[in-house]
Amino acid sequence: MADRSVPALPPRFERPGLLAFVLWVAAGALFVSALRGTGFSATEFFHGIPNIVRIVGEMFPPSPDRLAKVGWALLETFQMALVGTAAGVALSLPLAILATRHLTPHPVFYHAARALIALFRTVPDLVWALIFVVAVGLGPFAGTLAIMIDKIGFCGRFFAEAMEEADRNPQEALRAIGAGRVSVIAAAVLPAALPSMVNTSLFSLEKATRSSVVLGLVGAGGIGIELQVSMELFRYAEASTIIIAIFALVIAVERFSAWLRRRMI
Amino acid sequence: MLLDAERDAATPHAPARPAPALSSGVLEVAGLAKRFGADKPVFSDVSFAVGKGEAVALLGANGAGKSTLLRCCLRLIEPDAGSIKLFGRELVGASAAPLRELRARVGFVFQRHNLVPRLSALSNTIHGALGRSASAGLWSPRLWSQALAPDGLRAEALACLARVGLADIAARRADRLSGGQSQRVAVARALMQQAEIVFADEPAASLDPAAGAEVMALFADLNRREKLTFVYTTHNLAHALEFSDRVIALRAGRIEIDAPTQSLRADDLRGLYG
Repeated sequence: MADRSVPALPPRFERPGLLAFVLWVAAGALFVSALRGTGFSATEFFHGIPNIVRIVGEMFPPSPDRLAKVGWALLETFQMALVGTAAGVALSLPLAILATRHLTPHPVFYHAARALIALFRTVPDLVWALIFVVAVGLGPFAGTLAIMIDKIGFCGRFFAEAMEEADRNPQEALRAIGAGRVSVIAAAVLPAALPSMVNTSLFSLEKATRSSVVLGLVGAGGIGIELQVSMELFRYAEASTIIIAIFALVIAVERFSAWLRRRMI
Repeated sequence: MLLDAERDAATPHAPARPAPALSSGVLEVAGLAKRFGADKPVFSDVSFAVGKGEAVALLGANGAGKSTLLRCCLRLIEPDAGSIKLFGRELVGASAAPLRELRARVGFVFQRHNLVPRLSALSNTIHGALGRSASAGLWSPRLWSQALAPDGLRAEALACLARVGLADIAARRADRLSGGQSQRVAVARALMQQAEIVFADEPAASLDPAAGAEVMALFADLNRREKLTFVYTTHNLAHALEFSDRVIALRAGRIEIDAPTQSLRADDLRGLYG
């Protein structure tokens, strides 16, 4: 066999360039400062474990004392999620059409719609709830509005993406027939984007159910306020009843939306 | 253009179809040019006219500009220069409303049928009436789906499906149809449109030979029996010779052949692909 010279093995790791090295060091420094800033401490965590065990111990058995009130609050929580999501989905649709590059009537509408969606999506729903509590007062309506705004941002973005990804060929076929813009959207774009939009809407309902629990903490209705009161009054057995009820609601909504997704898509 | 001498030398094959009695020009194209980018001319100075009831095969190698030319004729792609007259009216420079009005009179069958996949064959057929909704006083939302359509239109769409032999699968979703069935639904959509001229961009290319011949025969039948003007692109020389009255062939962005089909043989056309 002919003697063939074998080249040297390449190094396992490439030596980073100066810029990459500086970026790695900066990222490391940022993480260390974040650990210090958050007071992250394994020691304190281990010291807190007995308290966690005590609280969990006091939570069981769950107290059935305020079961009826918890049930009504749970229903209100679901109602907030349902109405907020439905309104958000409905309002996000026209906004998403304006935010779809090839469907928008003018680039100005496109950029304005994208900016509005970004605003609704990036500001957390808890902040919207605080704003609406001030605007319309304490109660479930403020929470419902907060969910609606959050869902407009969420669905608006994903609906627009689904419409941008929809097959353009059927749209071209309808344009060739002489169909107007609205007809092309309704007859070709929406049917194509429907599976993705249904998926997004159902996921929104799941997300809204979880959100509506937290919104109660700022007085925007729902079961969150019940949980807050129970925790502040050290009624951990009552709190565990509420947590179990929330768990049951979220699981029920997730199961229902999974079933609906299978049926519709 | 094919030289006269060459055309004379060609042995005319037996005419498969009688020459149509042509009347006024349905489509008149003059000096049409299109380029994609500064260094990518597709075609230039293309001129031809299509008479009512004519069946015209548009030939050319890949990239010769057949599909672009067909799309330019409806301004689905904007031409760079030239004039396109449909039914005597100028299409180039027409604003949105008259453009839609003219498009409504032209059926367009695409290579991959371009049906809306999640909707039924009946809904897709009803879409054919979208273009004529304004002139017919129809409220277009009623044409978005067969579920919303008036009874008369549903019956009309079913009759169109029956004409292409698909009435029994009217309720089936378009994405569950075979390639040949899908293409026939696209033809039914053009029938529903009450199109006066049909453009077809390689309508048989995505089908197996039997289904392709079936679709082409359907067009030929509509052309013969209902005097439907028919302009189609194809790579299939047999389809060009069998189903057209006239062949227009593009080569290097210019019209190389514009001749009655009767005067051409397959050998005359093979040179286009050399």
